[in-house]
Parts: sequence; C-alpha cells; structure tokens
Amino acid sequence: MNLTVATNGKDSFDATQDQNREAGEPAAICSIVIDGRPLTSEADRTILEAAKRAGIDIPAMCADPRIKPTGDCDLCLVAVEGLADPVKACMTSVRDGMSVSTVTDDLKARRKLRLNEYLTNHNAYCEPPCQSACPAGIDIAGYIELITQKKYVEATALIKEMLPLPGILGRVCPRPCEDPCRRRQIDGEPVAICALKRFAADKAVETGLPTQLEPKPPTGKRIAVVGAGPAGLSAAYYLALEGHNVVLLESEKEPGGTLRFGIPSYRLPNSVLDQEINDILSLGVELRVNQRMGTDYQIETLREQGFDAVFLSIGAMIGKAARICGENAQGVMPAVEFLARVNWGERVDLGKRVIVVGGGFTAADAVRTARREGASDVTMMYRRTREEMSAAAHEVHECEVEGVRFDLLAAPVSVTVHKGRAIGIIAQRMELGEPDASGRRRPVPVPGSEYFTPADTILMAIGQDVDGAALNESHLSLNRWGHIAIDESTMMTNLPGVFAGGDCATGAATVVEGVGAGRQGAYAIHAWLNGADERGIANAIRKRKPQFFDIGASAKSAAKMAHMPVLDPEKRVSAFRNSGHVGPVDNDGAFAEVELGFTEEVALQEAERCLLCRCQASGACKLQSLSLEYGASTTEYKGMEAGK
Amino acid sequence: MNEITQDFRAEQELKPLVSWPFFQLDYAKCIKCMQCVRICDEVQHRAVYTVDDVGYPALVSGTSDFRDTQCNNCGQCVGVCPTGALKDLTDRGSQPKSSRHNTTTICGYCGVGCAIELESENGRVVAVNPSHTSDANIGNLCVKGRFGMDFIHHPERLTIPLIRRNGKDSPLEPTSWEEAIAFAARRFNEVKAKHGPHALAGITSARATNEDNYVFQKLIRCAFGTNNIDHCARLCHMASAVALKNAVGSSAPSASAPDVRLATAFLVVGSNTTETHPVMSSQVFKAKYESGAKIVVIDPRRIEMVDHADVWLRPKSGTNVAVLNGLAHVILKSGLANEAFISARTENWEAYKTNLEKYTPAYVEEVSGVPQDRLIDAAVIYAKADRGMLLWGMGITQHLTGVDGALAMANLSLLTGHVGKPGTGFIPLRGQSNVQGASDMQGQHNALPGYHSITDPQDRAKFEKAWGVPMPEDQFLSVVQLEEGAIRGDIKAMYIMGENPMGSSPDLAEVEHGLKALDLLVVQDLFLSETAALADVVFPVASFAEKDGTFTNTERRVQLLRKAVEPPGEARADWEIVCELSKAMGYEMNYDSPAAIMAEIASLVPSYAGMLHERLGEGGLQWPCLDISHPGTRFLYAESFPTPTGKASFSMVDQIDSGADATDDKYPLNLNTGRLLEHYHTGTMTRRSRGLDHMRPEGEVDVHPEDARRFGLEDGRMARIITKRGSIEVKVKVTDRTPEGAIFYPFHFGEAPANRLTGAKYDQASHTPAYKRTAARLERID
Ligand SMILES: Cc1cc2nc3c(=O)[nH]c(=O)nc-3n(C[C@H](O)[C@H](O)[C@H](O)COP(=O)(O)OP(=O)(O)OC[C@H]3O[C@@H](n4cnc5c(N)ncnc54)[C@H](O)[C@@H]3O)c2cc1C
Ligand code: SF4
Ligand code: SF4
Ligand code: SF4
Repeated sequence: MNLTVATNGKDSFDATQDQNREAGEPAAICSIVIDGRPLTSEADRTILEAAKRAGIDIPAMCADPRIKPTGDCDLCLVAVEGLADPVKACMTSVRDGMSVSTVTDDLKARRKLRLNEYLTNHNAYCEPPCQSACPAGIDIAGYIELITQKKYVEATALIKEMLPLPGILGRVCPRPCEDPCRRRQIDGEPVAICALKRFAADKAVETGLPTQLEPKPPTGKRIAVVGAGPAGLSAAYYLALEGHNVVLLESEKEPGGTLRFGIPSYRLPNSVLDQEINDILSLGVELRVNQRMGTDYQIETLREQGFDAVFLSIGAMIGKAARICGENAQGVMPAVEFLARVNWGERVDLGKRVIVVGGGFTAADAVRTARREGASDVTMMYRRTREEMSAAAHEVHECEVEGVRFDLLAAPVSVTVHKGRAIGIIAQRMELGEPDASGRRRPVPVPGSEYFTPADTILMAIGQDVDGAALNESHLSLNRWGHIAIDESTMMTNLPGVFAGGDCATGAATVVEGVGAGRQGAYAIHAWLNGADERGIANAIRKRKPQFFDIGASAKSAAKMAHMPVLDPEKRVSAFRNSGHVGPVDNDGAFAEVELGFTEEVALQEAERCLLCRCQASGACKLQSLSLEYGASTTEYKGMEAGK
Repeated sequence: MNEITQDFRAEQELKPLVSWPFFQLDYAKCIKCMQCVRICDEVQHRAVYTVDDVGYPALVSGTSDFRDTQCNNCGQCVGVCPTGALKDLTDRGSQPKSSRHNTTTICGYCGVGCAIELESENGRVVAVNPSHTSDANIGNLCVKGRFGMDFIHHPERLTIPLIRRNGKDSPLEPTSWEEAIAFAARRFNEVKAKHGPHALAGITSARATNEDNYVFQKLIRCAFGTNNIDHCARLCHMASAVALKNAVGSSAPSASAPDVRLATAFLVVGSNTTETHPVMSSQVFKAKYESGAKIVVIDPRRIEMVDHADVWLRPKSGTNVAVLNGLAHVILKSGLANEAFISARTENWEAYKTNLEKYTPAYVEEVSGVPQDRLIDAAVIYAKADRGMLLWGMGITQHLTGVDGALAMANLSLLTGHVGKPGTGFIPLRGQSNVQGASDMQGQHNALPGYHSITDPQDRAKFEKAWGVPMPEDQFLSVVQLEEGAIRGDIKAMYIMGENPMGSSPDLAEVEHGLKALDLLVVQDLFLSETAALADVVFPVASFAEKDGTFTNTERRVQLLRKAVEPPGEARADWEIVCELSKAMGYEMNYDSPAAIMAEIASLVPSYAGMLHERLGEGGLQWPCLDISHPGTRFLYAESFPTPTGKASFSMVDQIDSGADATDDKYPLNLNTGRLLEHYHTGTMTRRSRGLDHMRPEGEVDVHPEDARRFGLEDGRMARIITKRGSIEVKVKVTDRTPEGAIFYPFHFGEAPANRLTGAKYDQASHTPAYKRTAARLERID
C-alpha cells in the first residue's frame, strides 16, 4: 500500500477564519499579554479565543464556537490597557501589543451585577435544600411530584430507596427538611413534607401493592445486625436488598427499639410499626429475639458463628442521671423506663401530680403518657424557653392541648424526700445568657430564686446513655461519652468488619438519623465485603453537599401550609379520665392515634405547593457555577428589569 | 418577593415549548441568551425558532409544539443552553449532573462517528452529551446519538446464553457460558470434519469494533479454515469500494469532515444526507452558509437537502450514470476539464473522452428527464469551484448498476482534479458505525486484513507466519452467495456476529429457508433478532457502551470506544466470545484487552501501524498512520494514487437500461427503499428507543399526489404494496418528496419488512443488492 500522506489538519473549533488557514493561507501573528502572561496569537482571533487557547477561561454564557459571537451575555467583559471602558472579549480582535486583564475588581462587580439580573428573572432552583437537610437524603421533590400525579405507590417506592420506614417517619420525624424549604419565601410556611410522606405511605399500604424491590441474587455473605431499632432495621433492609444473608439480633421480645418501647402508640400505632417491620423481614431477614449482646454473646462469638461482618445498632436507652440530691428516692424514675413499661402493656400508677424534667421527645411523650395513665396535674419542667425545646413544636402544642402545664426557665436543684419517698422538687429560676455551642442560648441560674413544687412522681427526661454493660468488650473502642467510636466516613469501628451506627454511635438522636446511618452502614459493609479499602468505602457512602445560593422564589398561588387534622381535644381528654388499660396499649381509647393524616384532597393541594426546587442542569449549568463563583443573588438586585 | 418577581409571574405562566418526548424549553429558567435560536439557525439551518416580543425564544409556528415546525429533534439547542431551561426529557438520571459519571466514547449508530459523552449513574446510561473532542462532529449530534441510547438498557436485551439442546424443534433455553461455547465449538468441529472447512461460514458486522472484526475473521480463517466471511457493508457500499479500488487504487473515502467544511462546491448524489448523516449535512451547511459554497443535489426524491441546493437535478430512477456522464460531457465541452491534472495523474483519458461524446445534454434529458440548462448549471458549479467535493450514498450503490454509478462519480473528480487537495475529494457516506473498519479488518472474503491479497504468496506468507496456520485456499463467497450456499446445502454451519440477515437481506423468504436448512446456526446479538430466533446457540453481547475498542468512521478516522457501564447479566464483548469459541475449537487466541488486539493489527496492517489505543484518545487518528509518531492523514492522494503506476484511471461507463425490474402495466410503480432519520438499519436498536420509536412507530409509504389520485389512496389510510416477490400493508403518506411514478418505503420495520418486497438481484461486479429499484403496485385497503 502506498497511499500518499498529505497534511494532517486538526480542525479548530472556533473561528470561520480558520477556513482560510486550513486551505493554506497563513494569518499574521501578534504578541499580546493576558493577565500578565505574554502570548502570541493569530491577528484575526478574538481575545476570547486567544485566551481559551492559552488555557485562560473568560466567563461567558454565549460563547459556543459554532455560533457567531453576539456579545449579548455581557459577562466576557475584559479590561484592555489604555481603554477607559471594558470591552467584550468575544467581539474584540487581538492587536499587537495589547495588554488584557480578565479579572479585576471592577470586572467582578460588573459580572456579579449582570448575574444578579439574570437570577431575578429566573424562577427555579438548582437542588432542593430540603433533600440535603434530610439526614436520609430522600428525593423529596421527587415523591411530592409523584403525589401530585396520584402515584402513591411509586412515591412510596421512591422514599424507600433512601428509607425503609416511610409510614413511621411520616408520623414521628422532627422534620429537619422543612426548615430550609423554599416555600417559606412565598407564604412563610414550608411544604408539609413529612405529612405528605405519611399520606403516600398509608395510601400505598391501602393498595397492597409492593413498594420495595426484590433482593439481588444471594451473595453468600452472612451479616449480623445487633439491635432491631430504626438503625438496625434499615441496615438489615439495604443489606438484604444487596443479596446478603442478614440475621437481626434483638435483646427485647419484639423488634422496633425505641419505636416500640419509647414512642407511645397514640403517636405511632403498633399496626404501622408491624407492617413496616414485616416488609423488611419479608426480604428474608432472619430475626432472633431475646438475644442480648454482652449477656448472651459477644462480638467474638458472632465471628465464631461465621458472620462476615457485624453492624452494631443497640441504641442509647439508659436514662441519664441528673446528679441531684434525692434522685434515688422512691417516686423518681427515668422517663424512658416509665414509657417502656407502659408500652409493654403495664399499667403504671403515678399518682395525681407528676413533674417531668426535660424538653425533648422523651419529656413530651412522658407528660402526655402520664396524662393518659390518669395523672391529672402534669408539669413539664424545662430550663430554657419553649423555642429551645428539642421536642417538635406541634408536639409541644399538643401537650398544651392535653392540659400539660409548663414550668419554663426552671432547673431542678434537689428532690425533696419524705420517708424515702419523693414528695416534690426544689427548682431554681433561670434566664437566657449567651448562645452555647449548639447555638441555643445558655440558661443561667437567677441567684436566690429557688422554689418548691409538690409532686407524687418525678420523671427524669434529660438524655440517655448507651448501655455500657452491653459493650463489655475488651477490644472495641468507645469515645469519651461512652458511645461506640466509629470513623464517620466509613461507619467502621476500630475492629475490622465491625460497623456501628444510630444512637449507640452518636448518642441519643432521631429516628431519621438512625435510619440514614443504617443505610450508610449497609452500603459501607457491602463495599467492604466487595474488597473496598477505606477510601473506597468512603466514596461509596459519601453524602453530596451541594452549594446553595439565593434565587428568590415566586409561585402562582400563595396557599398556606395545610393543617394536620387531629382527634378532637375534648374527646381525647375525656378518654384519659376513663383510661385504665390493662395489658398492651394500642390504637384505641386513651392511646388512640392523635394525628389523623391528610385526606386525598388536602394532600393533593399541599403537594402542589412544592416548588420542585431541582434542575437537571445542576452541576453543568453555567449560570449556577458563575453565580456561585461571583456570589450572585436575587436579593441584591436593585436595577431595572433584567434581560430586556 | 419584590416588584420584579411579581412582574415575572406573568411570564411564568408561559407554557413550556415541548418537543415530546425529547426535550422542552422552560421559560422560568431561560436567560434569553439566544444560543438555542442561533445554533438552530446557524448550524442546523432549520426554521424552528424565532424571538418573541419580550426577547424569549419562541416557535415560528406560534404554537408551543416543536412538531409544528421543521424541528427534527437533533437537540443541538439542548446541548448549547447554558442553563437548565432546555431540558432533556429522555434523561433518566436521578442525581444532578455533577455527581454522574462521564465517559467519552463514539456513537454506535452511523458512519459519521460522532464523539459523545455518556452520563451514567448506578451502572446505567442516563443521558448523552455531545463531545467536542473529535473533528468528525465538532460537538454536533443528531437525534439518534443524543436521544436514542435507551436501547442499551432495554428489558429485551439478551443477558444469558441460549441453546437448543435437542435439535431444531427443541426450544431455546438459557444455559451457562461453558456449555454454550463448548456446544458451539463441538458442533462446528463436527460439521468441519464431516463436510470440510468450506461448509462453514461467518457473517460479521459493521457495527462491531475493529478488534471484534479482526478476531472474528481470524477465527474464520484459522479455526474454521475457510475464506467464507463477509459483512453487511456488502449490502450498502461494496459497489463504491469496488469502483474506487478500480479508479484510484483504494476503496477508501479520500476526504474528511474538515475538508467538507472547506469545500466550495458539493455534488450530493443519491444521499439523503440530512436524514441519514445529519451531522455530515450540518458541515455541508457550514461550508455553504459561512463560506458561500454551492450545492448541487442529484436525487429523484425531493429530499431536504434540495431546499439548500443551488441546483437540483431530478433524474428518473436508475438513470444516474447518464446524468453523471452528462455532467462530464458538459465540463469537457466547456473547456473546464483540468488538463494539467489529467495528463499528470490519470490514465485511460482518450478512451473515456471518446465515450463521453454521446452524452450530450439533449441525450441526457431524453434518458433521465433532467433539463439541459440545469445539467449545464450543475456541471459549471462543480467544475469551476476552487474546491469541489463529491458525496454519495446508497442512491448510487443500491442499484443493479451500482459500480457504474460510483465509477462515474470518480471520473468527475478526476476530470476536474478535485482530489488530493484540501477541501476536495469524495466521500461515499457509510451507513453503519464501522463499515470502513469492518472492511479494513477484512471481514470479507476477498482479502486479508489491510487489503492484503488472499492470493498473493507474499501476503499469505506474512499472515501464515503471524497466525501460525496455513491460509485457506478457497475462492470465497459474498454474503448473498453465502445465503444461497446455505439454501443449496453447500454451507452447513454459520456463525453470525451482530447481524440480522432476516431483517436486512434482499430476499427474506429465501434467507429464512436457507438459515433454517443449516445444521448449525450460531448468532451473537444484543437482542433476540429475527435471525437469532432461528439459531441453535445465541450468545448475548455487550453493546457499544459496554466495551472498549475502536471504530473507523467514514473518513478513515479510528476512534476509541470506552466502556461506560457493565453489560447486562452475563453478556460479554464480542471479541471475548470469539476468542473463547476459537480456543474451544482448538485455535488459541489470547488477548487481555482490545488494546492488545489493536497492537497485533498495527503490527500487520501498515496503514494502522501507528494506531495504538493510547494514541487515539482525543479525536482519534486517520489512516494511513504509518508509525507511532505519525499524525495520521486528513486527505488522500496529494501526490500519487496507490495503483501500480501511481496514476488514477478513468473508466468508461455507460447508462445501460438494466431492464431488470422494469415497470409494466401490472407493476407500474418504482419502489425505492431507504433509511429514515430516526431509525437505523433493521431497527433492532432504534426501534427499542422509546423516543425514536415514538416519532416513527410505523413505516409509511411515500406516494406522489398524482399517483395517490390514480390509485385512489388517501393520506393516513392503509394500502398494500405488491411486488413480484410479495406484499405488505402500510400507511400512506401523500407527498411530493417522491417523484411521480415512484414510491418510497423505509426498511426499519420488522412487522412490515421492505425486503419482503425486493429480490436478490445484485450488481454483478460488487454483489451489492439492488434495493433501490423494484417494480410495484399499490392497492387501497378499505
Ligand atoms: C421516648 C422517645 C421518643 C422519641 N421520639 C422521637 C420522635 O418522635 N422522632 C424521632 O425522630 N426520634 C425520637 N426519639 C429518638 C429515636 O427514637 C432514636 O433516636 C432512634 O430510635 C435511634 O435508633 P437506634 O436504632 O439507634 O436505637 P434504638 O431505637 O434505641 O434501638 C436499639 C435496639 O437495640 C436493642 N438493644 C439494646 N441493647 C442491646 C443488646 N445488648 N443486645 C441486643 N440488642 C440490644 C434495643 O432493644 C433496641 O431494639 C425518641 C426517643 C425516645 C426515647
Ligand atoms: S442549575 Fe442553572 S438553570 Fe437550573 S436552577 Fe440552577 S441556576 Fe437555574
Ligand atoms: S418547595 Fe419543595 S423542593 Fe423546594 S424546599 Fe420545599 S419541599 Fe423541597
Ligand atoms: S439557550 Fe437556553 S437560556 Fe438561552 S435562550 Fe435558549 S432556552 Fe433560553
């Protein structure tokens, strides 16, 4: 073969002038300086092209090499030495001796202004802030959109990609996603994200259609998950979907953890809990109850039994001590213990007057459960104000509706004991000082403000610890709070193949954080079993943290958030008086579920409120990347209407 | 909310512009940069967008549906939008673009070889972006490349080997790779032992990579021990290859995409370029609209390119040669022939010149119906141009006189000296992604890889040394002859890689008969195609997105395919399967990657000598690429032609009325078959893309309004097309795209296959079947 070799031409993408060059007509060469770098360029190139060839990026929205430049976007402005005003780099040819600056304070300010203008006419948002606020990272806009299309089964299935307990979270989640919701910019209230989740899940259950995938083919790997609370259940679910053989070991007689023996059934009926747990077990997860780690087995035992990996999720269920005088007297009890006893079906007589110390979930549940167990005079004593309570606002409101008294800005000093029995509490008034590490203002005692309140029972709800007895392991590292120490990026403990997550690794937190940790743990284990090293595991479970900037929202209608219908307060309270359950409490009588859920009509209206803040282009969008780079935002725009 | 956002509300009410199911324009995100409007206008040259009173893009139709405009869904506007305003509705991703995985590779559809970026998520391809890395497409894409990739994850993909354990009547059952390979190998060896090696045959694919094709032909020659191998390029472009080999010494297209952009005059013959090679046509437009190039279209159908043409010649079907000779006649008589070029670089001039005498404009008009003045205009445009370029497609080659047509084209470029210089030359447009490569690798009977001669002792010795076995002696059969051989019983076992003769061969009933008569049929494919359904063993293969390798495009550009996702189930790359089978048959082939196969190719094929995978990263290299520092070759024949004398040769070709399938009273219409923009080949891939199939779910027959009246047909109603071979029922489209007396029907639709109507008549020199002309009649169905 003697094919004759001719010129090789790499065609340039930029200019039509290149045509002549390709056909063999050379162009004059000139010397220029861009951002201090001396360069040479053909004289018929624009500044933009010359810069691009030298690897200098000048921002531009409309500089596609296939299209003739128009200079419309106004972003490629550059400063040329000797000229008073900046010029458009896409429209200006280079000249010999030209000196160009592509970044100056003036140019930056002009570009920012222009971007602000663009954003003002831009009614959309790149990535939903709700989703990144959700510890489980649910595709919220996605399921809300499906709800608007009445695709409830699909919506539930989408939620279950990130969290296997939609009906439960739809009832008990503290809703961190609703805080940053952009709907607030329009009518001050977020979309009822959580209530919509419950709605979709309940609807899906009604249809009886499957909302979860079939597990992948068996991998032959066996994994022990210790503790069947939210974290353990979630880990089991995602591990089973990946085809692993999961054994769930639980110390109590039934699975569910805090969901079963912490959260009362008027908030979370057992039927909902059972349904969702059964769905998880139906994937082939083997549940073994009455199996307490530390007593019945240790990590080493599990290894000997041939488990390839272990996930620890034993929660934090031991009520913290208040370290005050009289705390051990009869009539003083950790609130979690009280709740557990009621939840397991015991009738607990507290007397008439009950004080619950604390302002979190546990305190709120304890006061309301105490009311249901017949106490008529129930007080919640909290050392800060209502705003700072970590119990959700709507729950605090329900406490009030149910006749609970609040004693705010009050901290217990000692329990007053008579004949070994508590008869009341001495407390001290507080006032709010400087914010502490958590951002909440620190309560400071008011000197000489002590006062006495009589009580038959005092319930302590001031936090929980991890059960140290269960972690009586010689090699497992704990941190200084007694939690299991893990590397957060891999979920692994110091023992290879032993992972942990949920309250036992973070201290008492929330269900959704537990579920998120369980899922991450599952994928960490999956990656580890597939031979990933630390970096590989971290990559497999890394959460994206998108950058946000301000684009003002607007919408067709200004509808307020829909209200959750609740059981009539009067009827509710009268049921308390007749309460006198023996045996397990369930979704009736005094323990009937309080929140009733949205009707379809209300749910559809509410779903319409979502702005579906997400955009396919995110990450590839020039408007987004430049706005972030130049700090653009709509709130700063003061000019005339943009773009005209 | 401030005043401005208040104002904005009204605008927000604007309905999005929708091109269902491909993309939509959402005004809420639009920043009025006009990139979409301009790329459509300046690159695609279509009347789609305009600008409304407040400066937003709008549609010329005044509606919000792109279907009311000339939009052909190329999605160039989607690619150029700097924001998310133009949204890809086929995007199946759930994560934002920034967290997806990007793989730069080459589009697996047509021979233009566009560089694309596949976006994937959790092992699935979810979207496609154009890539600016290749000169072949400089960032442009067509509807198939951009929106037609969902076939990759179609539920009907084959995921596990299938086998018929107990003879032809037993069902195809799933099996293991071990069993499938061992079974196929044992049966091939049995047939070989009983009937000799030439009872075995292989058909390879112009959609498979160079590496796949190379190992496949190696298996046929070394493990089977025969030259019975062909690929379907036969079906479209063998005529061009044979003609060019005769005229200029090589079958390759001489020029490249950059040359197309440089040319100042085009002769586009028998190629519906805007539909079959849209990205190539946008380069023609670039030359026309940015540098004033002139376009001459020669086509019986009113194809889209006609709207951009300076002169349109509409010859009667089958009279191409007369028209092309007529052009040459005019050029010669007007003194526009390039005498210097002719005397320095060509042979056989005098004889050719004499032969042209009779092709006067008057004679040509009589034969073809092309008016004399138009013929003269066209000839002058091409001959006077600084840089003239010839583009042709299957309208030239799929005729009984296909080789003659291609020779007549080559003559024109020699006559004017429009070859061997920047911006000149000729490009026969290849249908499939790797037609050129499959030919280079010699997935064909008549030569060894790199066009080494199968009969030349030196060439044979070279390959015998490299492959360690004697080269087969037999005198090879073409794909059509192979099928005939199967029917006659000469061929007993066949191995078909990625081809669907049951969809693409000219004579369906016969092919089916032939394939069913085989003792053993082994097929490897993406889907259970009509052919695979007849097989005894079916191997599931990886798609182009699931493997590494190279394609050689229509401008000889060898470009890298990169694996974006894992193949479904147990599917494997073609080359892996071929090597396994070869080993099981007793001929070892061990490569650890396609790169290793390419290294072997480079060592044997001089024009590929510098084509190592690591050099092909950005934009590929064009052959000849003679060593590992060679920059590749943009256009051929700058100094000489690869013939024994170094000169090209004029060929005397005459318009002969083949009379083969002439129309008569019973069959008064000429049936023409061809491709559509949205579909590709027999539709195995495109028909499985939701969007593409949505656009063209069924084939329609184009009928001229006059003929419609004559046969009592109405637009949108059903009719029966009847030929001497068979009949099919299809929907009627009344249009003047097709000339009176001729009808057009596309060949992508398995449920009403065009090839049921055509016959196995083929061009004698090249064996390219005559799909373009069959006598037919239409009957109304009520
Ligand atoms: C009263 C109360 C109300 C709450 N209300 C809410 C609320 O409304 N919303 C919200 O988001 N969060 C709420 N929380 C917090 C939330 O319940 C927890 O953060 C969450 O359950 C933690 O999940 P986990 O799986 O880590 O642990 P847990 O739910 O505590 O589960 C741990 C499991 O491990 C088992 N286990 C313990 N020790 C062993 C052992 N040695 N061997 C084997 N198994 C063992 C336990 O029996 C239990 O099943 C509440 C907490 C309490 C106490
Ligand atoms: S990604 Fe771009 S187009 Fe989409 S919302 Fe963000 S800035 Fe707007
Ligand atoms: S409007 Fe919808 S998508 Fe946006 S933050 Fe609120 S819930 Fe999320
Ligand atoms: S390219 Fe995008 S942003 Fe620009 S005018 Fe078109 S739709 Fe609007």
